[in-house]
Amino acid sequence: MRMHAQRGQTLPVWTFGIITTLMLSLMVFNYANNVRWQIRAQNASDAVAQGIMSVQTQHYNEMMATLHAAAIEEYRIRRTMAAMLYILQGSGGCTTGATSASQPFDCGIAYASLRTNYVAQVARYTQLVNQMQAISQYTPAQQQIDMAAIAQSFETTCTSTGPTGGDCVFKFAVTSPTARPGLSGAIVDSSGELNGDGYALPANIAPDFQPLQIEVTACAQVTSPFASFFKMQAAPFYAIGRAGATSAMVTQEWFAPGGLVNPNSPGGTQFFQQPEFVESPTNTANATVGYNPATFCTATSTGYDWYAVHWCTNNYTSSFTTPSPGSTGSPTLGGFFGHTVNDEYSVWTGWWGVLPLAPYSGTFTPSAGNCASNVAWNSP
Amino acid sequence: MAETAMAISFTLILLFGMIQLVALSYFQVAGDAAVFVAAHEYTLGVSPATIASAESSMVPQGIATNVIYTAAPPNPVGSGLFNSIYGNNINNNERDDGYTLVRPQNFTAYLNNSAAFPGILGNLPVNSASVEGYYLMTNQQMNQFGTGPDNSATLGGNYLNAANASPFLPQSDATIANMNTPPYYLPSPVIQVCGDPWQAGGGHTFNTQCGNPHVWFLGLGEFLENSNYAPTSGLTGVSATQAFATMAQHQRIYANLIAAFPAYSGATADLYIGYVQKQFANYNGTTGTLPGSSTPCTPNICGAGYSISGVNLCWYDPMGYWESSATKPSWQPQPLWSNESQKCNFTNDDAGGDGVKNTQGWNGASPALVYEWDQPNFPGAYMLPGNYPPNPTAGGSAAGDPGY
Repeated sequence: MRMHAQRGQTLPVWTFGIITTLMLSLMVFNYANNVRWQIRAQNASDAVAQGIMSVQTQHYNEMMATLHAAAIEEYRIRRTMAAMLYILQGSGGCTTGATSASQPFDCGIAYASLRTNYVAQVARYTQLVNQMQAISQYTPAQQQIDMAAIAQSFETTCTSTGPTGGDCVFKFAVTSPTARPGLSGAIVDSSGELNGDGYALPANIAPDFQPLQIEVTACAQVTSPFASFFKMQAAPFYAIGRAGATSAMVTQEWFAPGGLVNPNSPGGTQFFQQPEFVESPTNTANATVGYNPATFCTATSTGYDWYAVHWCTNNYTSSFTTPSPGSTGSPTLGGFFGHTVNDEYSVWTGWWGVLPLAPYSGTFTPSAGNCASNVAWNSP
Repeated sequence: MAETAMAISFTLILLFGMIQLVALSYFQVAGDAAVFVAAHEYTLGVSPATIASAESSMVPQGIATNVIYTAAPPNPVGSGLFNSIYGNNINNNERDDGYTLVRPQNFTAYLNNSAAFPGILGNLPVNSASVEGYYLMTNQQMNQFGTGPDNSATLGGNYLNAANASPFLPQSDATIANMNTPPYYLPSPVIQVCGDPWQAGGGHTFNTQCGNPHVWFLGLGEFLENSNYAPTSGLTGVSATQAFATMAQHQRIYANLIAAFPAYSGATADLYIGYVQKQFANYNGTTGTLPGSSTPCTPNICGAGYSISGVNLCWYDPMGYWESSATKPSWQPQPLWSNESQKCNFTNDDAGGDGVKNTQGWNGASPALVYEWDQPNFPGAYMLPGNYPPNPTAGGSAAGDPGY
């Protein structure tokens, strides 16, 4: 009897021990679930913030592409007009009689071809100017409306139904986009780099040209996996993610389309802008002059084609100073230097993308209006 | 008694082990949370010290203070593509292009071996790691160093490390501010112009080589930089006072000038060429006559250069360059002439007002029409305010005109 009672003494130890262990396990499980939801909320807000900022970056990229297309066309117009004037000036190597080695172009044929090309070029240029006007109609206010619509789409189009949706268990609150502070102005350093380098922007910069920053919160009130444990009630918890995003120039280019090879061209060897023989009805090089890439851009060379459109470049020298051996300092950049002696069409510009940004709007207090409620802890 | 002691000891050990396991699980979850937050915050520009301080109130101290940050070099971007595009042009003594990139890379925050659960039988290391996207700006200043996109062996060190490349943090990128600008587009257009004298009737001996070539900087209408970030209208369209107004102004000029270059059929090509030449030789006026004839030169035959939409052709281009001044660099356009009463009469005029008279006798439109005066800050503020005339074609005047 006595021995039997002694054996039974471990039962309460086991009982309380197991209950304690279970409770601790549940607490850890709840903690892990909480962490999992916070990470999920953060990822959801990151996705929405960067997704909606694409509205502005797409707009900028469209603007840059149209500007570039128009600039290419205008340069072409100017060169073609120059060629017509050469003919009217009696210059450039054409003749109104029989062609010869010294006067290899027929003035009449060349003039007619140039004029035809000029009219077509101006027509295209007009379209691009109109297109630029259309692009400019997309105001910041309209962009904000589209951003809100995209955020709404993230809430209603779920990733579970396709690859383009968002995490639908959250509600997203989007702050009004604001201009990113601390911008530098773009300057031109002839034959060198153009960039901000701390150069001040003019006052009253148009809102359209102000890269925006935006902040998004993803919020859900999640029920606890053990909402009721005997008489204990576990309150739901908030899963909140906050993310910022901004639009920024992610590539910066000094682009000379007549000197850079387009890898997607036939054979992968042609320049982005090939020479254009606008004085020829068939856009081919003059049979006598021919086409020599080595001298095509050199106006002082014999056989220079004064009537063609030359997409050429000039040579510049990079100037920088490397740190002394053993020094950990950064190299000092000094820009590019050179003389302009050839035709040149080059451009400084870049492409835009969205980058993450730290939240900047201060304390966030979730409210019923911007937080999804009663979300099951195991929601997919 | 001994049996009881053994049973209780065994029970307590089991229970203690279970509790240790639960506590270890807590440490593991805390470590997972800590590295996630650390990686996320660090890639947004928060310092490790600040992160550790913030996390110390949320996770065990041994976790918060033992987060390690490691940057992984960016994935290769395919140097073959860059080599294909740039070829030898990236040579720093012979450059005509360049690029700067913001490149994504992976960034890892993980717990070091000191992050451990203090178990009864000794410390038990807790391992966890989180990977975040991170942005690094490389080949800065249009790749002024001329190195490849993945180069890590030049300039005495890893080109992709913080010494030669910078993390792109838009809110504090003082050292790489050149990518913290509004959108910009800056063309650099130059054409060679043949300055050989006028040859009425055409066909002078050219010998396929121009005896007097010049370099002209053109002013294209497509630019976006400091000078038009703040249009007076505050808008970015192509109408007058808007950011891209110059585009529409140039379009109007080019469209109007079509009439200055009449079309003709091949059979009468040379004759018509002569007519148009005559028109230009007469300063685009109707006072001229057809070559070898007393018949007036009309717009339909000679070109409508005399008056285009109420703006004389000569107005577009006073041929500032052709009155080239010995006092100015050959590449620098001269100030434009804006005395309307003397338009189209440049011979022996001091068109630019710089004390040098035009002796070329060559007038009319030129490829230099609308050049730098409508881009006062491009490419180097050669035309200071007050030196360029008002735009003769500001604003649209007809339906369908982009600026109308």
